[in-house]
Amino acid sequence: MSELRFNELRGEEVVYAIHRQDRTFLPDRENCPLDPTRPGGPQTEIPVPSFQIAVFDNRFPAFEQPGGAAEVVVYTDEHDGSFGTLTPARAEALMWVWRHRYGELGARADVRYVMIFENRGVEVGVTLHHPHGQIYGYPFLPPVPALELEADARLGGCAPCELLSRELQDGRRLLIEQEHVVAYVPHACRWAYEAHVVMRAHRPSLLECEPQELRELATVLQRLARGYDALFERPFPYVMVVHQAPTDGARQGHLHAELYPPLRTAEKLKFLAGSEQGAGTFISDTLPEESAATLREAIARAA
Amino acid sequence: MASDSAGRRSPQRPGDAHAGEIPSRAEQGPEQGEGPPEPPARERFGEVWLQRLRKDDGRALILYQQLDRDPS
Repeated sequence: MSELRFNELRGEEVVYAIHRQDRTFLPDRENCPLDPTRPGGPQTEIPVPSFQIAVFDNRFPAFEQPGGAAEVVVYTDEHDGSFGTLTPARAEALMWVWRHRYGELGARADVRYVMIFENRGVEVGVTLHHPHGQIYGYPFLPPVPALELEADARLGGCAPCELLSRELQDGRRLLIEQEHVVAYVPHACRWAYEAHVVMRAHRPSLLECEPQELRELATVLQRLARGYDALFERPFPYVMVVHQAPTDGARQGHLHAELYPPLRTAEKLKFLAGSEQGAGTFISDTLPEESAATLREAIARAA
Repeated sequence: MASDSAGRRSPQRPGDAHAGEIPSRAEQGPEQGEGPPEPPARERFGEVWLQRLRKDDGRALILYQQLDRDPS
């Protein structure tokens, strides 16, 4: 069981999950625990010879009932590939899986915030290459979603609605515009190629989305992921998080995905160093408008 | 709060009937008695089927399948 300690200086919880030190680390592909269990092959986490999408309790959980949840979401039984290369139907099904897990985990009394996310690439700490994401059910409201609620108060309404409106009006940082979903590089992004994927209509979570909105969300996320890969013609590492309303009953929030890629060039990583860690202030050497223009071209090339 | 731009929705807690989706239904569970164990009952959730299983160590496992690839 993990231990929570409150860091008074930062005003935040720190999670000590010391059992995670021994988790599986970059196994060779013959011993991938996220592959299906094939006849004559090694027993994996998924004891069937084939599957489409699988979700299971993390063997090395940061949170576990009755103190939250940690699940693994395996996108496919094929070891190679990525979220961006899933078939459109599979990516759409994944949106329904996300919705299902958000609903079930969010209904639990020990879960106050459900965060769906994917870490892609060793640059962001991936320990398994098989296409997969994770879901954490936090037993508290973490700082980032809490800040989003503060932004709502500061802007006098839904912050993502207001920021989307500003981006649409400005236009310079837009990446993808569709009927229900828009992707853009934020006006004040932290990462060189950070992108946000936002529902046009005010949807607190996946639960309130219409089926066509879920389909389009999958489409836009995949187009963005493939555009990232085309940007430097290499698998592009990123952290993708889905932000939704906290599950404490207030239903305040606006469904959107945020993607934080650590690359600032094809070979150079952005490190969180003195200013970022010590002061909490990001210093970027790329203007968002220039990043957006470059990324738009890459998305067009990848289409 | 939880209304969209057209004001079509009311506040809702996760897990409360899963707004806006095809109603869930569970299929028949395994027959008791003879033969090998039947696969667990399937549930429909929107555009996916799901089957709930338990791993040997007790951890939950859910297998999802796209609706358009329903094998039955």
